[in-house]
This record gives sequence, C-alpha cells and structure tokens, in this order.
Amino acid sequence: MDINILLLVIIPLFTAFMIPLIDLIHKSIRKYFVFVSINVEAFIAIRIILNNFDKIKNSELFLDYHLGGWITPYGINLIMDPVALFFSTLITFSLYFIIVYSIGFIGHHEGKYYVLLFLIFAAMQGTILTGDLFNMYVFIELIAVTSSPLVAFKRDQNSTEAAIKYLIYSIIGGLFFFIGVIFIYFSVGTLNMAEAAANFGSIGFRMQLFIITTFLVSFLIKLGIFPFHFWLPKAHSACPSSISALLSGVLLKVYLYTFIRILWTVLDYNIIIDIGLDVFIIYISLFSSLLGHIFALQADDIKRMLAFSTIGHIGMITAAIALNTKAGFYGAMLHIIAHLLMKSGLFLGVGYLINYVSGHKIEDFTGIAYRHKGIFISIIVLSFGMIGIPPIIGFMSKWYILLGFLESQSYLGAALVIVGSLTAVIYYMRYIARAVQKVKVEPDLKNRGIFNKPIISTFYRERIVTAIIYLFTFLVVVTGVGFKMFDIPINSMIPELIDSQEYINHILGL
Amino acid sequence: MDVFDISEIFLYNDFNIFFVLLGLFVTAATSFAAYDYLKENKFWYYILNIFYILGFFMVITTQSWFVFIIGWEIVTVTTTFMIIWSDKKIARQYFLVQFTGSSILLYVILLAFSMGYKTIGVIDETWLQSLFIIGVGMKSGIFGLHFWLPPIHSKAPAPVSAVLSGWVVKLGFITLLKIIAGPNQFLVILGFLMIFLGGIKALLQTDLKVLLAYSTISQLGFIAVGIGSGSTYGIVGAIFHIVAHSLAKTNLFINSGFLEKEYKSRTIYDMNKIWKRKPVSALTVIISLLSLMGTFFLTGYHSKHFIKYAFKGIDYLKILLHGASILTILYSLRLAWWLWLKNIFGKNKKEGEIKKRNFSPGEYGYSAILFLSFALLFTGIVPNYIYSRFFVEDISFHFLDGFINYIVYFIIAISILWRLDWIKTKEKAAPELDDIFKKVNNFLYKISGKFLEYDTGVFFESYLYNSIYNISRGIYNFIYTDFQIQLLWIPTLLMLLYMWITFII
Repeated sequence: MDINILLLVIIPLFTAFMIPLIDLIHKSIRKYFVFVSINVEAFIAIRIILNNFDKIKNSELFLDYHLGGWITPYGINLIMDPVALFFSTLITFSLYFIIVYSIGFIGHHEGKYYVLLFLIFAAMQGTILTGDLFNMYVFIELIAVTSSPLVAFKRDQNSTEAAIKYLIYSIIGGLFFFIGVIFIYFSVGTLNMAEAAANFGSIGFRMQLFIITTFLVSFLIKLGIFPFHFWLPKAHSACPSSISALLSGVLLKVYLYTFIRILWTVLDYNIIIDIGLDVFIIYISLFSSLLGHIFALQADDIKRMLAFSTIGHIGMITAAIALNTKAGFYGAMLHIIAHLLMKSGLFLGVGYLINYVSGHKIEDFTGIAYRHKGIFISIIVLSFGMIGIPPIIGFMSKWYILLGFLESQSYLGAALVIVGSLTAVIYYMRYIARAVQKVKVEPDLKNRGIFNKPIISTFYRERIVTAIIYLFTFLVVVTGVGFKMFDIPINSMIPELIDSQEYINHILGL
Repeated sequence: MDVFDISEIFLYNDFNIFFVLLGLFVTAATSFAAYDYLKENKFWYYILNIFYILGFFMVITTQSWFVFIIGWEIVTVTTTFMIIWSDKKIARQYFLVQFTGSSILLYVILLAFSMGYKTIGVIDETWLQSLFIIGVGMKSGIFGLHFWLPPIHSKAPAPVSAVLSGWVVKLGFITLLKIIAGPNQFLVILGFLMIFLGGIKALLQTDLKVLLAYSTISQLGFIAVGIGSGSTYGIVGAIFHIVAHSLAKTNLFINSGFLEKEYKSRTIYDMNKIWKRKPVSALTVIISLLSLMGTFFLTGYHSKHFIKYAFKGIDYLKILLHGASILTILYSLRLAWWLWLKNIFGKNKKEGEIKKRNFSPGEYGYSAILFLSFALLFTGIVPNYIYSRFFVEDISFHFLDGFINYIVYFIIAISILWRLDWIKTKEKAAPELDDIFKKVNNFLYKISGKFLEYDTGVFFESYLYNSIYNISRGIYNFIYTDFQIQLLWIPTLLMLLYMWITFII
C-alpha cells in the first residue's frame, strides 16, 4: 500500500479543479500554481524511484494501492510494476517540459488550457497505473473527451473540423474497448486485470478470439495504424504546437502501453500467435509505416508532415512489439524514448518558429531559419535524429529495431525500416532547404524593425520557450551518447512482458 | 545484446595503424592546400576536418560493427558540411546518395550480426560477401552504383574533392580487405567493368575534374580486382594501389584546383604550357600521372605488377589486365600532352607567357603537393617499407619483367594517340545527377504510357524531388476520399476479421 502511486494521479486532478478557484483570486498566480504543481508531481515520481532503487535494479519492483481499502477482486487497485514505472516516468517528465513550454507559449484562454491539460495528465497517469479494466476504460474516455477541445483550441474552421473528426474516431475506438471489457466481464465475472488474466484460459475458444479481435481493432484505431489513421494528420496539425507535442509524442505512447498491457498480460498473446493474427498485426503496421512515410513526402504543411512521420514511426514500433522477441521489445522501448524526445522537440521548435507567420504551409516556411538561428540548428539536429544519424538517439534505436527484425528473420520489416529512414531524409531535407533559402525583404519593411523583434513579445516567455527547445536537443544528444543508461529499465521490463504469470501472482497472492 | 567491452572495441595492429597514418597524411595535405584556396568559412572547415579524421579513425581501427557504422556516418555528415558552403544542391545530392549507401550497409551489417558475426572479421559465406560488396558499393563507387561519382566529385571545391576521391572512397575497400579472404568472382567481374568503363569515359572528357573522377572509378577497379583475386600477391597489389592512388589522386585534385584558379577554366585545352606558368604544379602533376601509368620508381609500378602477378596462371585475365594498363596510360598520356607537351617545341612562343599570375598556392599549398609527390617517389623506390609491414615472404619475381611490359605499353599508347590526334573531343557540360534521373523517369513513363505534368514552378526543387512528390500525391489522392468512406474502413475491417475468425479458424 504505497500512497505515492495514488498521489501521482491525484495531484494533477487536484490542480485541474483548483485552477478555476485560483482564477477567482488573481489570474497571474495561475502560472506559479501550475509550476508548483508539476514540481510536486516530479518530486513524487523521483521519490518513488529513489525509495525503491535497489528493487528496481534487481527488477523486483511491485507497488500497489487498493482504493478505498477494498481487497483485490472487489475493488480497484493501482499497480506499479516495471512496465508501469517506465511509462509513468516518461510521461511525468515529458509533460513537465511541455507544461513549462506552455507557460511561455500560450497567450490566451490559459485557464481553460491548463484545466484540460491537467485533466489529460491525470488521465494518462491513471491509465498507466490502474489494475482494473473498467477504470482503464474510464480514463481512456477521459483522455478522448478532454483532448478534443484542446485540438479545437484555435477556434477556427480547420481546428473545429479536426477536433470533430478526432472525437468521432476516439469515441469509436473507446466503444470497441468497452465492448471488449463487457465481454470479459460477461465471460469471467470480474473486472480486475489479474483475475481476468488468470481465468482467461477457461473461456471458450470462439469467445477468446472475439474479445481479442475487438480489443485489437480498438487499439489500431487509437494508435493510428493504416486503415484507421485518417484522424491523425488533421488533429495533430490543427492544434497549438504544445498540444501537438503532447498528442503526437506522449499520448500515443500511453496507447502503446495499453496495447502491451491488455494483449500480453490480460489476454494471452500465445493465442494470437497460434491463429496467426500476429502476422496480420506486423504486416498492417509495416504497411501503415510505409504509407506514413510516403504521405509525408507530399505534405505541404510542416505540421502535417511531422504527423505523417509519427504514423510511420508508430507503425514501426507496433510491428517491433508484435514480434514478441527480446530484441524486438528492446528496440521498440528504446524507440519509444527516442521518438518521444525527438518528435516533441520538433513540434515545439517548429511551433515557436512559425508562431507569427500567417499559416504553416511550405510557402510560409521560406527563410524562416534566419528568424532565430539557434532554434533552427536545434531543429536540424532533431531532424537528423529522426533520420537516424549518430550520435543522436535516433540512430541507436534504429540499430536495435533493425536488429530485432533481422533476428526474427523478418527481412521485409527491416527493409521497410531502411526505406522509411531514406524517405525521411527526403522530406526533412525539403523543409530544411526551404527554410534556409534567403528571402528578399523590401527595404521599408526592414526599416520598420519587424524582423529584429523577438517572436514572443514578453521577455521571460521567450526565454522559457527557447530554453525548453534547447533542453530537448541536449537530451536527445545526451541520451544518444549514453543510451546504455536505459539498459536496466528496459531489461527489467522484458521478462515480465513475455511471461505474465508474475504479475498475476503478485496481485492475487497478496 | 552486443559486443561492447570497451577494451576490445579498437584494435591497433599494423594494418590499421598503417592506414590511419596514410589517411592522416593525405588529409593533412588537403588541409594545407585549403589554407590559401578557400576564402571563407575556414575555421568551420578545419573543425569539420578534425571530426572527419575522428570518423575515419573509428572506421579503420574498430572491431565492433556498431562503432564502425557510427564512424562512417560521422564521415558522411562532415564531408557533406564541407561541401555545403560552395554549392548547396550538390551537398543535398551527395548526402542523399551517401545516406542510401549507409542504409544498405547498415542492413547488411545487421544481417551479418544476427547470423553470428559479432566483430569485424573474415566472413565465410560468399553470398554474404557479395551483399557486403553491394553495401559498400554505393559509398566506394563500385560498378552499378557508381553513377554519382563523376557529377559530385567534379563539382565539389578542390580540397574537398581531394578528400572525397582520395580517401573516402578507399574506406570501403579497406573494410573489404578485412572481410574477404578468398577469391571472389563477383568482385573481379565488377572490378574489370569499372576499369574499362572509367577508362573509356576518361578518354573522352574535356573537363579536368570530370576526367579525374572517371579515372578514380578506373583505378578503384584495379583495387577491386586485386582484392577479389584472393591470392597474396593480389592483396599486396591492392594495398600498394590504395597507397599509390590516394597519394596520386589527392595530388592531382589539389593541382586541378590550383590550375582552375590560374587559368580560370576547367577545360584541359585551355591549360597549356603549365611548366611555364606553374612549374611546381607541373612537376607534381607529371609525377602523379607517371605513378598512375605505372612507371618504375613510382608506387604505381609495384601495384600494377603485383596485381598482374596474382593472375599468373589465368591467361584471359592477364590479357584484360594488359589492356587495362594500356588504357590507363592512354588517358594519362593524353592529359599530360594537353597540359604539358603540346607545342613544347612550339611554333607559338607567345602562348603561355603571362604578365602576372592569377593565383598563387602559397607556401602551404606548395608544401602539400611537394610532400605528396615525395611520398610517391619514396614508396616507389623503397617498396619494402610498406611490404615488410604486411608480409614476411620474399618477392619471388624479377623487377625487369614489368619493365619490359611498361616500355611496350608506352610505345603502343603513344602510337594510338598519335594516330587519333590526341583525342580532342568537343567540350560539353559537366554531368548532372538530375539528368540521370530524368532519363530513368522518362524511360519508365514511356513504358507505362502515361503522361504527367510536372510542377516545375517551385524554386529549389530538383527533378527527383518533383517526381517523388507527384507520385506520393497520386497515392494520397487515391486513398484519401470522403470522410464517410474513411469511416467505412472501420466496419469493413472489423467484419473481415470477425468472418475470418468465425469461418476459417
């Protein structure tokens, strides 16, 4: 019974509800309150790691909290095992940086923005930490409901269209998840994940397949894999840039966590291997990855291009996870970290540069490198990382994913990864070359001094925003050189993924 | 997950140290030559040079595949940035080509890694060796993947061309030396194709740097033939030829930069009587060309002789090698004629006299080319200096065999050239990488019978990018239709999955 896990979920929720009250007192206290709250959250996350450090090193970590004191089959429990710890830490720290960026970046409707953002934060932590199926469904729906207004934040036609499309797809995905949960309850009689996992083998074969297929379609919709990806480019490009970084970088990783948790721990992945459905998952993810890279080639808008690139990479990660081998998991987890850092950094950097340009089409991108050379160099470094050039972490994760594919003799998958990074060179270079192009400025415009002003008018806000982008670049290079530091966390996750018996024993045995 | 013991990553045996020192020597020479040649961004150029040295150090001395590919990517990125200040388009094309090569190489390395070859060493399976040849091929100009070499090496600024053509393309062959231990037919065939293709094209060129680029392809063919022969003499010959060609080609490219600045044009017909205007350049160009031809007392002689001796039993290959040597002498002598010897006893005494020099290489430039020529002479006169590092056996053939061969080639070459009036062809524009893609694309579209409008209004986009953009836009428009049809995918796929698990499983 470790209350720190509960605090990880409660603190963002509390902040979200307190912000309107703080607004009543004085509007400018809001950002300080937000900053204090994310610091407390980060402190609690660090405290969990430090308190259990030797257990983490021996990969025996297992913390839990029973809500309301109800014992296991009857109540909801929050579980932290190595997988949950990994994802939860990633979410906490990346959201820390994104929220600090937002303090500097968002200039209007901040109250609504922070409330929604903290609700998403609480929902994401809840999804990762929960041990109960219906609780997970509630949190997933909360994410969908609170992120749609954030997509429509700019209140113009394009954003509203994008938000409606996103909401429809999310609700449909949630609906299939709900159908799966109902059928598990109907067959097994319990909603607790460990109990369902223990009794899953005793259901009839047809019912098992039906549940697996329904959950699978739900995850494919949420992750943006090929036939169901139509919401992704529009949603990720119509929202303000910090929300793009959140949706594209962080949120998809939470859905990857649910993908792993449900298909490996609750349902039995060996059934999927027996009927050959894993081949289907691998091939459709690889095809989706290829299409994502091809569509990025023709994207005229930089944020759409980055969104298509996300489809490409998430397809690759899903295929690597579906291989069900040690090397595959290793590569996929390393690529989750790499893609999170690089894509968030790219969205944040690009958002800053195009802030006061009229649109984000490629024509508006001309000559933008000279607005702020430092940030543009960061964008070049992050793009090199996405392509896969050492010493940035994108290269190391590409190496391990390729190794994962080749060790399980999936030569086509490895070839598609290579083709993906080659097309990535073409579409990233297109925008970089466009940005470096020199633009002729009329002399009277130049005299008016527009081009010498900083992009965000308040001094400290500009500093915060540029500092966060530099921080992402620094992290990307440092984790690239020291990528072995992720060896212990990732290797402690892998035995538990391949064999879920320990998870069940820990929960039911208690 | 992989071999990562830090004490075993780098291996400092004689072989590696020798090549690192050779690379350092060649790179130092180009840095010296660049001191007075480049006018701007010198500081960043030298910083990039330092990282480039680090890169190829990692490539040559490492035993771990991981560090190897990291080193090679560092070489790619730094050489791209070295080109970027003179011509952005060439830098983009060069980066794309090199990255394709790196990607193929990464695939093949990981294939070997997953098969059990965890360190760089001899690979037994022939098909895996052939895959490695293809992987290294794009970066080292092997036939079939060599199309990028003449456009890019000729348009880069002269010291960077020297670096690229003199050392970067050799890195692939140094790796092949470590991997291939026995005879490899694929490499021999490719090598001969490279020699003849490069040589014949070099005979027809009028632009000095394009000629040198084709000559690079030709000489790399010799190295490939030497490695593929599988015998000790072949490998010794390949190593000697790597030394000879690096020194000679670096020298020639640096001098091409000096000559271009002096005569203000790149055509070889405009550069005449260089021994009057630039005597030091003239001397060093002659020494390098003589080494390429295989004159005795220069390193090229030893390398060609060793490679010929490696095929001592196989007659038709020996005839091909004789032909290759004649071809090399043909184009080198043609170049020497147009630069040096034309009108040497001339009717027109005024030609070549100048009032003032356009360009002076400066003391660093002079020292660079003189040191390179001296190294050529040294390794030629004292071949044991290199030979004794690798082998302990005695050389068992006589030097004079090669001497007689050389005189025969020389006489044949001079008579052919005299007949053909020293092959003065028409001047044409330098080759562009874009043209190759245009031809391929037009061919494909003629076959498919379609006709597409190309959007050429966008500034800065080349033909390749436009065609890729149009193809992907076609696929996009095909898939993205109505919102309702997009939503329709969900129930379609769901029904298909349900029917599959109901009826088929």
